[in-house]
Formats: sequence, C-alpha cells, structure tokens
Amino acid sequence: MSEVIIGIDLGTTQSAVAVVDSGFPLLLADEEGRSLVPSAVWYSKNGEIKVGHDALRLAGVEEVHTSVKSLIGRRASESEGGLMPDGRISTAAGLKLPEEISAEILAVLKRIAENRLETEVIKAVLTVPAYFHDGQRAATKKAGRLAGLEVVRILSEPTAAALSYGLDRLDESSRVAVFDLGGGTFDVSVLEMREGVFEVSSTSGDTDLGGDDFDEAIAGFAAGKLGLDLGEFEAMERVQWISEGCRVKLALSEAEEATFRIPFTGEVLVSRGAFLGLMKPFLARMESCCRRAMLDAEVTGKDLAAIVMVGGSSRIPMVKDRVAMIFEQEPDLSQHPDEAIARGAAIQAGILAGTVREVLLLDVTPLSLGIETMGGLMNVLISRNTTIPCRAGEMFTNAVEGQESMKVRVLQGERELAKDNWELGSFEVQFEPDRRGQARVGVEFRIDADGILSVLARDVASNVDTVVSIGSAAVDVQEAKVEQMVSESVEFAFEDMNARVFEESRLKAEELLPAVGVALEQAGGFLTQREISEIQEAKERVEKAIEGQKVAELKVSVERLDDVTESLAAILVEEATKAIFSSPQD
Amino acid sequence: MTDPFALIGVPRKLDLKDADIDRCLLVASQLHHPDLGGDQDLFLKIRLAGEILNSPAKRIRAAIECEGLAFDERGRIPAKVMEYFSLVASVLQDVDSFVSERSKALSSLGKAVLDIRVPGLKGDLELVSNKLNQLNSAMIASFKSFDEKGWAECEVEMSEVARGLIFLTKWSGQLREANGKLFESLLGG
Repeated sequence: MSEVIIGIDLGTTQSAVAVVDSGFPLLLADEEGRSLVPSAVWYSKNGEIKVGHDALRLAGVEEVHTSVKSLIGRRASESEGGLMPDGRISTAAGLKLPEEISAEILAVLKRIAENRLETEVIKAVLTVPAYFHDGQRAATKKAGRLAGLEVVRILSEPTAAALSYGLDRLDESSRVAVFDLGGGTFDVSVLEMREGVFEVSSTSGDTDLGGDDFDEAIAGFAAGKLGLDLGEFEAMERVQWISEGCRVKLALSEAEEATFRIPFTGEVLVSRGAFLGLMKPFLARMESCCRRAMLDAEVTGKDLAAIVMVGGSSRIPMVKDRVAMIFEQEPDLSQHPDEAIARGAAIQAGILAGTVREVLLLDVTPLSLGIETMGGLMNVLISRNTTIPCRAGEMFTNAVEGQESMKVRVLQGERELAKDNWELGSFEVQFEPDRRGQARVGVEFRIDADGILSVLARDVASNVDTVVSIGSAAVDVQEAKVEQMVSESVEFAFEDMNARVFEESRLKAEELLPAVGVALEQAGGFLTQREISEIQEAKERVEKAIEGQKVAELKVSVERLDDVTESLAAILVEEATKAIFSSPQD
Repeated sequence: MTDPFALIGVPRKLDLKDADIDRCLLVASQLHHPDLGGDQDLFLKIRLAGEILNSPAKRIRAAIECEGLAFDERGRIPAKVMEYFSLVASVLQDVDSFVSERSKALSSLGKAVLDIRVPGLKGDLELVSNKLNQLNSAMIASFKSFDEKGWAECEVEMSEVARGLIFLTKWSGQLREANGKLFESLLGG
C-alpha cells in the first residue's frame, strides 16, 4: 500500500480533513461524528489548550482565538491591531505567532486522521486562498511543520473545489468558474478541464472579504439603530455582538427578516432589504474580482459550463443572485459548501501519492512577481496567472566602477508603483570588483508548485548558483508612514481648525455644485418632483453658506447635499455600469 | 535557445492553429509534470515553449532565432502599426485621467458625474481594440507565405512582421488593462 497523504482545509471559521479511499475523497470525522472542526483555539495561563468545539464553547466568556487565518503571514501594520508590532498575537499563555495557533488546529486534524485511519500520518496537502501571497503561503506551510506534518503541497482553495467538482466529470471538456466565499476570504478562479487535466486560466480574489465582514456589518447596523457605536465596545462585548450578527445573517438566508437581540440592551429587526444595503459594497468588490477573472481568462459568462459555488457564505441568497447576474447563468450548488475544499485537497494528495491516476492539476500564481526599478516602479518578471512551477531570469550589472553589491526589492502585486505592492523582502546581489557595466550577476526567480518563491543568483564568470535568502522587509514601510503622520498631526494641531474645516467643506462644495446641474440634466427624469426640489433647496443652502463664510453651516449643508444627491448618483453609476458590462456584438 | 517547436512536438511552421498548439502542450505537460513523476526542468522548458508558440509575436521571433536569421529590434516597423500608435496612446491617456480624477472625487455625485464619460471611453477602447485585432490578423495571415517560401528566404519581411506584432501585442495588453481599470474604478464605489 502506498503511503497516506491527507488533505486539509484550514479555514477561517472551520477546518476539515479528508483522504482518498478507493478513488473517492472522504471527510474524516472525530469520535463524535463531527467532520468540521471550528478554527478556534483557547489557551489558559498555565498552558492548557482547547481546540475546535471545546474552545468555541468558551467564546464570549473567555478569550478564544478565532479567524487567525486572517492574520497569518501578515505584518502588524496590515492587521488592524490584531497583531503586536513583532507579528505575534497576545494570548493568555503569552505571545504566539498566528502559525503557532493554526498549528494547534492542524494537530487536532492530524489526530482525527490518525484515529480514523489507524496509522501514523506525516504528509499533508494544505489549502490556502488562491489570492494568498508568498508570505501567507510560507506561514501556512510553517504551521503545518509546527503540527508535525510534512506539507507536500500548498493548494489553492478554489482549485481544490474544482477538483472535487470535476472528479466525476473527467471525460468532459469544459470551462468552469469556481466562486469561493468563505468566512474571511474570497476567491474566484476560471479553469479549463480537459481529459483529466485541470488547468487554471485565471484567478482573482480578496483576502479580506468574507462572512466575518457581514457579521460585523450587521452588528454595526444594529448598534447604530440603538444609538451605540460598535467601535467603542469592549473586546468581549464586541465578540457577543458580532456573533449575534452572525446568527442574524444565517437566519436571513431562510427568512425575510430576523431580530437582532442583545439581552438587557435591545432588539433590532433586520430585514433582507436592510441586509442587502449593508452587503452592497461587499458585493461590488466580489463583482470586481469576478469580472477581472473573466477578463484575464478571456471568457464571458456564456463561455462557462458551470459556476461552482463553495464556501459557507455562498449560502446567502443575495450572493447567489449576484453571481447569477455576473455570470449570466444560475450557479451550480452541487458541491457541499463546507466540505468541497477538503475533498479537493484529498484528491491532490491522492495525485501526489499515486492513488488518483490520470488526473493532473496545473495551477497558476495569483499575483505578478517583480522587482523595484529606478524611480520606484514595479518591473514585472512573472505575470499573474502564469502556470506554476515557473521561473524567470534577470541580469544585474554594476552601475559604477567597483560597486560591491546592489539591493534588490522583490514585490508581489498588480500596481504600477512599487510602494503600492506587497514587499516580499529584499536581497543583496554581490558583484566582483570590475569596470562599470562589466560585473554581471544573473538572478533566477522560481515559483514552486506551492506558489512559494525562491531566488538563485548565478555568477556569470564561474557559473555557480547560490540560493539567495530574502530578508523580510525589515523596516515596515507602513509603520514608518504612520509615525510620520503622527508627528505631522502634532505639528498641525495648533493650526486654526476652523480654517481647515471650512477649506475641506469648500472643496467638496466646489465639486458638488456644478455636478448637481450636470447630473440633473442627465438623470433628472428618473426623480420625482419632490426629490428634485429637495436637491435644489440643499444646493441653495450651500451657496448661501459659502457666501456668508459660515463654517459650521457650510459643513452641515454640504453633508446634506451629499445625502440628498445619493440616489441621483446611484442612477448615474447604474447607467454607466450597464453600459460597460453590456456585450455589444452579441 | 531550445527549439520550442521540437520541445512540444508541433510541426516547424508559423501557420499553426491555436487548438493544435494547445493539444500538443497539454500532452507534453501531462507527460513531464513533476507531480506525475516528470522532470521539473524539462517541464519548465515546455511551459515556456508553450507560452512562446501561443503568442504569434513570440512565435515568429522564435522562428527567426531557430533558423539562425538576423533580428534587429530597432528595424523598420510596418507603417500601419505606426499609424495606430497615437490612437492607442490617446485612449490610454483618457482612461488614465478618468481613473485618476474619479479616485480624487470627494462626493458620490462628483464620481457619478464623471461616470457619464464611461460609455464613451468603453466605446473608444473597443474601437481601437478592434482595429488592432484586424491588423493583427492581417499580419498573421502572412505566416502562411513565409512557410511556403521557406523562412530563410524571408529574413527581412519576417523581422518586420515580428516587430509589428510585438507592438500590437503590447498595446492590446495595455488596452485590456485599461478596460480592467475602468470597471475596477467603477465598482470600487
């Protein structure tokens, strides 16, 4: 019998482990028959640890660490306070790295597999959101190692879901999209399936978008209705409100309305319509990713044979509706939203172990890889959606005579300016002393099948390759920026605040006043007479306030004008959106 | 360089069907993927060969190199291609200034009023894209005659077509990116 490799879905809110048995992927359950393990960890002061259901039971009473996945491989500055400056999380048992906490969950999954399979398990395939960058992938791999696992592959989640979907359809040739909306992350991939080869054409996503955001939005909405501010709550209270937000969200997938209820504080009735309003910005971000993925794959909705939806949040009706609208077809809900990814991970494990034959996966790197050039621009070496493993070379020469080394910053992302992309780190290229332009070092960038980068430098004269270690970005750019902003704000504190407020409002007014005229001309026909006169009144009020140089009045009246023109703005945006997404030729 | 035609097993021709290249690339990828016991270095070479052959601009460039012919990057560019340069540049600039203005707008109505320009920009992008595509197809149509005459006989013409295609490919990519930026700015709220 060949060795066992397990497939693990390490999710934001829950995790699962699966294995291929007689060619079919099976989820493995714990002693109580539960195959989904909540991604929750609790520590006591003296080092006691509880994981999963046992940990979750203590939530709201004690500090339980959930959604750690949203912090893994991140820098403190990106974490909105979730991480200490050194990248650790404060727990009852001291400071811990996110990967150390995730390792506790992986260890439990490993034990479940060992109990079920009655054998020691060492090797595993771990899944990550497709849109995870190098640092997040590397940290996830480390979490596996800390749990005593040899991670034989880091697999993208939507790709895993596609494997699960396609295993029964190996003889078909088709293009499909996978839409994966989980607890904390969102991915969308377009794949081509042909004769057992699953080839990813494009992938897009947002690693900060998922069900957790919707829970928080509902909690914030309810707090607002009760005259409270979610931002000012204590940590425990916040957890309670957000988990009630989650309950309401789930209820709204079944019912038209649900009551948000916090004992001794109050109740708020939340309708689907109100929820839709809260979801709008999130739905727009999802749509943007979906359009990007289709554009990159050069397909339209009609070219796709199926839109496979997975992830817990794909149960939300308005998400399904939006998907149907974007892809111009009803989504395929045949895959279990919480289990498909673990099954897919098990299939990839089976491919690597040799138990699943005649299936091959060709995945891509989600983000472009490049280096910073003079002038702070990003020079792309490997563009996004390149099949992995892949490599690219770049030649460096000395710019002045006798130059000993040069620093190369490695970046990941799609923005033109180097500073807008994620900095992987930097390394030094060492030169032999030589005349200007004569010392040459070739550097090869390799992205392996896990989507993780390694760098090799080749001395052109001796043809010797050396592995270059990439120092993580030691100076956190973001933090330096924050510091600068703080010191600036201290200097400006003594300025006349009134002048600033007036100036800001005036700028906004100068934009709004002419815009009102143009907008009414374009779309006034869609408004009622009452709406129009409301807008006119608000406009006149602003004009008077500017004339009279009244600071407080200008601020209030500009805000009023901004509010009353909201539906007018929405109509114009909708018209523009319709125009850009209509396919002209067909 | 390694001959990309030989690597994935397509005939040594410029006039190839996309589907045929895809088919050969798929078979070669299956045969040499490290997950199925293949050699990683060879797999990387095969993928690179696939990338070259799938792009007409890179394919003709590779043909010139494989045949040992001269290629001057700075040589003459087909007049038609030059003509389109200002068209491409102006529409790209329009999109860029729209995106930047929109990101600076302070109010939703301010943004919305700018959005009135979107259908026009989209139309311009499509118009220029279509023109480029037509020219692209016309230039690819010459591949067949190069095959028939023999590559060695068409050194000058092939170089000129290659240079033209390199520009067209680059511009098409930029237009696609501009299209993406346009809708991202719109959906970005």
